[in-house]
Amino acid sequence: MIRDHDLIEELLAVQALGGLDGGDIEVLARLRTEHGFGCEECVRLETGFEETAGRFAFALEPIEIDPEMADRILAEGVAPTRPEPSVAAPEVVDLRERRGRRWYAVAAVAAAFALVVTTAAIVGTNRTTHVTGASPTQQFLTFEGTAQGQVSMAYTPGRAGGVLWGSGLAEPGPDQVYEVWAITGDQPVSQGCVSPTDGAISLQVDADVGATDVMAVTAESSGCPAAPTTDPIWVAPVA
Amino acid sequence: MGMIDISEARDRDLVRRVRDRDEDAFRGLFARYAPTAKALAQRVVRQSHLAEEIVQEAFMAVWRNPDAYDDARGSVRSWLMGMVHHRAVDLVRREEAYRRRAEDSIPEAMQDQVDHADEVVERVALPEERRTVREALDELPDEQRDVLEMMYFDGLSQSQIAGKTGLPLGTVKSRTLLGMRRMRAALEGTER
Repeated sequence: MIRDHDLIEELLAVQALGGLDGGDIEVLARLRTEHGFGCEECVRLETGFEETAGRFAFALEPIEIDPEMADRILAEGVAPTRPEPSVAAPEVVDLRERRGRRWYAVAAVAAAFALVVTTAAIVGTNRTTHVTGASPTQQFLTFEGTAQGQVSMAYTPGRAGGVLWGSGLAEPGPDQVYEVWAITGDQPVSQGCVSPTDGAISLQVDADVGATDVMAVTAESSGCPAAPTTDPIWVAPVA
Repeated sequence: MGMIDISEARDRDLVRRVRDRDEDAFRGLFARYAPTAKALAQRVVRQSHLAEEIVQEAFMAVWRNPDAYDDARGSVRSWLMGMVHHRAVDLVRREEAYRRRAEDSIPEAMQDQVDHADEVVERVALPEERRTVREALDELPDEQRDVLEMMYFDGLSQSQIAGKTGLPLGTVKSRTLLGMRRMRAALEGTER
């Protein structure tokens, strides 16, 4: 099928420079969904613009950097998460255990929720829906949560990759970002961090979403930790 | 294949070795790109200490998860600079009020000093790459270059640029596209 890439090319050019905002974030996410994540022209445009934008940095004169930084990173980089302030060392183990239980609980809730969703599907409603105008295999998730705003994502079962977007979101907090997780069993894997612009977010995820149990979003420190340190704000069981 | 091809091949080898937890390879990647990464972060956030934090976060992410690099999606250097740029822009968008206060408190002459007074590190600076990118930017029509630079180097969104320049949003987007097409065409023959 021949698709029109004029609008998507324009939005991808702006996105590569970090300038996309407002409703265009959702427009781009929807266009990517409609084209399908395997759309070769979309991928060619996106990677080409990202490669070009990344090279802009080399127009600048390099600036000397603290030579000990590399050693600090190597020394600190083993730990999966930043230590939480005000938590004394002996309590860290307990905290991790609690966190493990909490995320195990998220997975359990997700599994239970999936059962409810499956039941709901039997009677004709399902939170995982096909995307209008998209390939019939593409799925659309709506996240549940108590925080302000709407979070959704689209993916193709059996393939890696998907697009998450949100609107009407509050700022996650001082020096914080939203972090997206793909959870299988009780193992959350980070899919990246994002900050809202005018309440909107958009993030390309690499996970095979269809093979996960649940997708979740937390608020984390801007360091984007490798493991969650807070409870999920939004959750979407993958049916 | 030119010199940049060899350079990229060396970068990919460094990333492969980082995946094997080779600390020397990480130091090599850091020495090669951290000074440019700091220049980029500092250009966007205008604060040296914040720029160093951003560079540290980005390279920490590299060390913790080198598998995030996908060679099918482009060069190592663009991947690294993309991580730094995203973090810098995120910071600017979150801390805009803080940034305005900070800029208000620093005289203009001091801001220039923050941008340019640090030592230039030519020996790791990929001077050929810098010349190529600068020439490509210089070749752009002024109106396209201005929009690209405001968006990338100043961290402004398309709407902020429209507000700042008085241009219609559609014009900002179309100039961005035209400029990016030209830049891509100019740089494509020299990548990897």
